[in-house]
Amino acid sequence: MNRNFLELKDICYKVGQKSILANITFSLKKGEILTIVGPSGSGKSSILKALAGLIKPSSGSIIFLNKVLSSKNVLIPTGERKIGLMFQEDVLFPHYSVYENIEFGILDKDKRTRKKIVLKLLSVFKLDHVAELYPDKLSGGEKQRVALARILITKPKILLMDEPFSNLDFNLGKEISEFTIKLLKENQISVIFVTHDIKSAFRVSDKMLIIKNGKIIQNDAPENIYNKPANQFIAEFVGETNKVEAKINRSGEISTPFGKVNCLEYNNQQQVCINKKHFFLIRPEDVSFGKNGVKCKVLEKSFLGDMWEYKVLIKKTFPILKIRTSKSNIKINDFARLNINTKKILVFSK
Amino acid sequence: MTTIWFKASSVDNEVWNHIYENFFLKFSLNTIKLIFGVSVVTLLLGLSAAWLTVFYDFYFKKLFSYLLIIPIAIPPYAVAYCYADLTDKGGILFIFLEFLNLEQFQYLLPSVRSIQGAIFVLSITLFPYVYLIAKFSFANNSRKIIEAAANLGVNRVRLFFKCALPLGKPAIIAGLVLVMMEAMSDFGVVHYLGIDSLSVGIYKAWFGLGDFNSAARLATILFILAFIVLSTESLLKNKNEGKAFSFDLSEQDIKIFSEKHTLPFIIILCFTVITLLIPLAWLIYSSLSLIISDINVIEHFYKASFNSIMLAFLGGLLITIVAAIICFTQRLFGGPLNFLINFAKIGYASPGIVIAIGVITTIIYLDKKIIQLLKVINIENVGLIISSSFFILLFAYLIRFLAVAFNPIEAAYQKVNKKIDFAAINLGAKSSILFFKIHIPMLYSSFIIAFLFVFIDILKELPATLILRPFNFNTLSILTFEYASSEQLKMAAIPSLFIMFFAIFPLVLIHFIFKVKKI
Repeated sequence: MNRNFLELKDICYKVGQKSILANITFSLKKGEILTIVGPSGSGKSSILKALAGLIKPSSGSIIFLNKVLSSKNVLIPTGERKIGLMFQEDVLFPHYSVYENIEFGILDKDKRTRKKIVLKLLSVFKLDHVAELYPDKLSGGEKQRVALARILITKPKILLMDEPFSNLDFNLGKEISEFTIKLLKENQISVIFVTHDIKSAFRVSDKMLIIKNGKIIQNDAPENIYNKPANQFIAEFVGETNKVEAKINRSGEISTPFGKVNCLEYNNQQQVCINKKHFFLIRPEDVSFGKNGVKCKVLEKSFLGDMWEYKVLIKKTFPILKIRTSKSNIKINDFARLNINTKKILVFSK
Repeated sequence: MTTIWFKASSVDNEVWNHIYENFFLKFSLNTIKLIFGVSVVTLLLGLSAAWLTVFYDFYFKKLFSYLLIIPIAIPPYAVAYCYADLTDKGGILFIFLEFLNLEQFQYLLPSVRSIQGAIFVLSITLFPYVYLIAKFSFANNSRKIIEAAANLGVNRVRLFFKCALPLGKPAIIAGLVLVMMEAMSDFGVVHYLGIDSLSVGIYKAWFGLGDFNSAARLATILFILAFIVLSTESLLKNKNEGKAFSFDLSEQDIKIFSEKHTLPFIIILCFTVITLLIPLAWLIYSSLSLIISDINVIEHFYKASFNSIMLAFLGGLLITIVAAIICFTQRLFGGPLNFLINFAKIGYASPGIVIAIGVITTIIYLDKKIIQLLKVINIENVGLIISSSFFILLFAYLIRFLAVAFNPIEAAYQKVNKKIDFAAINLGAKSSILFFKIHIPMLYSSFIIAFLFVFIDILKELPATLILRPFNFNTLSILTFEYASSEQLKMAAIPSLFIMFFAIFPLVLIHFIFKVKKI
């Protein structure tokens, strides 16, 4: 379980002069679920394509179960890698039925064996009733299940999923993704997800990779990505924040209305840190109303479904804060008191 | 091309000087006038027909929109015979004016035996290329934008000039380039109407003055013109504009103006009468008048019909297979093969007569090598093997019409998500499985359309067939040309009608494929 069975070392990929991926290095253990998140065009899908063998990296190597899949002189064809790839959109073969689509990956086997395997998968994926239908007659959820069954029939050791559930509505996407993850975990199949849906990334990942402009900027467990983001970009990318400019003192502390907070950079580079502009970030859900705390005036209130969002003013020189809480009894123009665990306040320099 | 350039470098100076001093300027100017004139008229006809059939509602609109396509099936030279027969002195129009006692107006009748006449004839047979492509663009590609603009209260004229035309520009230019290439490569019309264009010049230099190399030198001028026309297409198209679209005969009208109009009806009726009904009526009348007097006359055309269909079928099959393989290879390996596809388009821009020159030189060279080789193993007196068979014709058609097959196949390939290929390859499919099990079943209708378009083109092709055919091998287009050359226009009408008849079937089939498959 703990052995790295997939390793990417210094993968670079260029198209002409443009660098798409730069020094991508990470590893994956058996049964582990890794999620790659990042803004559009950051190179997420290119990592998957390099892993699947659909593009040849300009440099670096991919090692899978101690075998080199890709390096300067080696490129194992995609079909021989035992790495399955599932796309965001519907790429089922439109001229084949559900049965034939699933069967496609094992055409080299004899007909009887094929039938046995396909029928079993149809049952596991609850697709028996649509086996004879063509893709244009299937619902979004059924299409994704067929696509998944079609890949799993080839018994991949790793499954690469490029935003597989983003075309489905929220509830269906959640249901299918839970079903998929459960199935993959049961079968000890490692998964690399690419998604822009941070919530689902946090929900399913053992490990997350944040990527920007083709470079990895943080590779960590989901809770660390959220609570200890490596930089301001990640902090803002993984969740909404209130951003407040602040000054740092000679002790490396920043004053906030909620108390003093330490700048983590300060211990390493005091002089550089002192000269930089700083700001702190507060997540709306980390602040709560209480009996004690900092006094504020409620300016706006809106209902979000599972919670309420308030905009409050602490003092005129301080920006308006956004707060999300389940408390609903506070009215506009009321005065209230705010609390926050100062350890949750994130400090960054510009 | 290399062969032609090579031959062009060593001409008989006496013949070339004669051509250069007396004809060269006329050949070139006439060709340029023809290209320019046909472009303007087809653009006017094609765009207005497309605009009226998409944006206006009028009586029998659906019927008219089909009838406007049929001129593609009529060989342009047959239309030339028809209008020449009608407007020549002693022709039907002269007789009609005499019948009305209006002889004094006979001098007002225009003659098609002029450059304007050639422009007229070529335009009314070629305008469906612009009509179809513009109609598809108006009704499908720009549909939502045009509907949004109409919703803002923009009137029809503005809609046309500010929305439909700019949005359809790449497609319209592609259609226009097709027409320009057809105009410059035409031989049958200009030869019959007595217009000295470059293609006629090549024919005269070769067969009249007996200097193949001077013909090759004139052919290089046509190549240069073809190259200029193709370059114009890329110059006129902005880089960010999409690719042009293939033909689409399916119906998808914009329902923003639903009231019935009389003027569009009259205009479209006039178009249909001039482009289809008059030539068709003439062909039927001329053929029937002969057939009724002697039914056995049809027997002359059985063998030629068989030969035409066989050539069109084999040529269509060969060209579609080659085009499909090239498009598939280009999809897998990309880059360098784009050059090959663009190069093949020059083949389409090259007149059949130029292709014939290039092909015959190469094949005779190959034949000589084969004879030399056979002599080594003591086989003698075999004669020319390839150049005396109809394989040389198929080879010429391949060069000439490869681009015709590329058009629908390329367009269809662009519509197939590349991730389907990735998915198949990722599931372990080899290239052959990808081609036979994924692409062919998905794209077979486009392959059939490519085959049918090539079939129609080969059926109508004249100059290359005329020059490269094996001895005593006749096709319908050759018989049409031969009868027309000896002014037996009624006899020429019968094979022309046969060509039209055989070409309409594929056209109807294409229409149904578009309709059923919703391409």
